[in-house]
Amino acid sequence: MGWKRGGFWPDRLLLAGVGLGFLFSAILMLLMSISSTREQGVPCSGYSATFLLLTGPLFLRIIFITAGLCISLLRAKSLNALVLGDDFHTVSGFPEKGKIYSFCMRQPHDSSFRISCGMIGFIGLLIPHIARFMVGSDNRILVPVSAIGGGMLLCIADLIGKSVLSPTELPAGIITAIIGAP
Amino acid sequence: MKAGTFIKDLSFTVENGQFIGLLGANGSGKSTILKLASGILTASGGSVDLWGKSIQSYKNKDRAKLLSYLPQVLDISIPFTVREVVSMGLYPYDILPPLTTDEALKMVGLAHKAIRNYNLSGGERRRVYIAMTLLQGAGLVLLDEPLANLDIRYQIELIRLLKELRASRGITIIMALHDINIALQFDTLVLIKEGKIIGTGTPDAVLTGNLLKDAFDVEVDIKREESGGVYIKFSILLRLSLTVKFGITGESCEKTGTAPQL
Repeated sequence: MGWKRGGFWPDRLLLAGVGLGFLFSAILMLLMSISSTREQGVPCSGYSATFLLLTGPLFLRIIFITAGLCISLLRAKSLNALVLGDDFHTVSGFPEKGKIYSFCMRQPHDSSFRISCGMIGFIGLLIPHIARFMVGSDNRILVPVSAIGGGMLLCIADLIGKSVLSPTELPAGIITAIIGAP
Repeated sequence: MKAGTFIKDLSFTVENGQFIGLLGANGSGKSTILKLASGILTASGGSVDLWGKSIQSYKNKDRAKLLSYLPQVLDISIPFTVREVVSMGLYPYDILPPLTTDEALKMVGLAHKAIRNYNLSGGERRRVYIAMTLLQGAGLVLLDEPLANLDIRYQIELIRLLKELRASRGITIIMALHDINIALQFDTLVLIKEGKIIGTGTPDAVLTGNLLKDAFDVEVDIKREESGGVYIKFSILLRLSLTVKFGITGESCEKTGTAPQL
C-alpha cells in the first residue's frame, strides 16, 4: 500500500499503516460486539456513537466544542498563512499569540468530542481530505464543510450500525472504519 | 558585542522610492537584515525604524499594510490553487486594496494558471510568491533572493516590473541578490560581509574589483565599455578562471553574453 511509482513512499506507508490498524481494530470490535450480544459479557464501549461514555458535565463539553469551532473559524486565514511558514504568518499581520490560542484550544475541543461519543476512527482523517477535493484547501470553507461532513458521516454510520443487523447494534466506529480503510 | 551577535555596527537609511540591492556572499547576513527590517526578528540592541517609528511599536496588521516580505524559502505541501496562494497577499486587509488578484497574476505572467492546482515548476512558484507579495500592496517591499530559480527572461521581467511599480506607485524595494550583473540595475547597493557593511552607494561605486574581492574572496576584473556594457572576469580559487561576458545596456537590462568559458 505504501508502494508507488517503483518505490516506497514514507507518507503513504505511514497512512497505510494507520488505515490498516483502524480496519483490523474495527474487525476486532465487530467480532466483540457480535459475541457480546450472545455472551453478555464483553465490553464494547469504544468505537461507538451511541454507547455510554457520557461523562463530565454536558454544558462544559458544549462550551469547549463551540469555542474550538469558533476559534478555528476565526483563525482560518491565519491557518492558511501558516501553510507558507511562520515568517509569512508573521508578516501577513497575524499575532504570534494566535498560534498558542489555537494549540491550547485543540485539546479540550477534541477531548470533549471523545468523551461524548467515543473513539470514532477515520472521520478526522477522511472527511477533511474529501472536503478538500470538493471545496479546495482554503480553511475558511474547509473547516465548516469538514465539521458538517464529519457530523453527517457519523449520523449515517450510526444509522447503518443500528439497522443492518437489527436488533444487534453495531458501533458507528466500525462502520466508519469499513468505509474509510479502503 | 554580545556572544553570538552576528550583525554589528550596521546602519543605513532608506529613502522613499529607492531601489536597493543587498549584495554579499552566502551567510553574510543579507537575509538576517531583511528579517530585522520586516520585524520577524527583533534586534538585541539598536533599533529598526519604519517611517520614524520603531518597527516593534506597530500593530502586526498595520505593519503588514506598510511592508511586505518574501522569504527566501517558501514551500507549500497542501494543494492550494494558484489564485488561493496569491490571494493570501490580501490577508492584512479588511477592504479591497488597489490591486486585484487577477492583476497581480497578470503582472507575473501566470493569469492562465490561476485555477491550476499548485503543482508548478520552481520558477513559476517564485512568480506566484512575487504576485502574492505585490498584491499585499505595501509601500516597502523586502525580497529575499526573489530571482532564485527564475530563468533569465523572468529575472529581467521581474526587475522591469519592480522598476515600473516604483515609478507608478512610488514603492521602496530592498532586495537581497547574488547576481552582480543584475545588481547594476539598482539605484543603491549595500555590500555586506560577515554582518558588516563594507560598501554602499551607486553600482559604479560599489562594484569595484577591490570591494568585490573583499566581499566574495575572488579576484574580479571589471571593464566598462562606452556603450554601457560591462565585462566581469572572475578568477576563482583553485586556479580556475571563469570569464563571464555580459552586455547589460542601461534600463533595458538585456543579457547578450556568451557561454562561460572555463
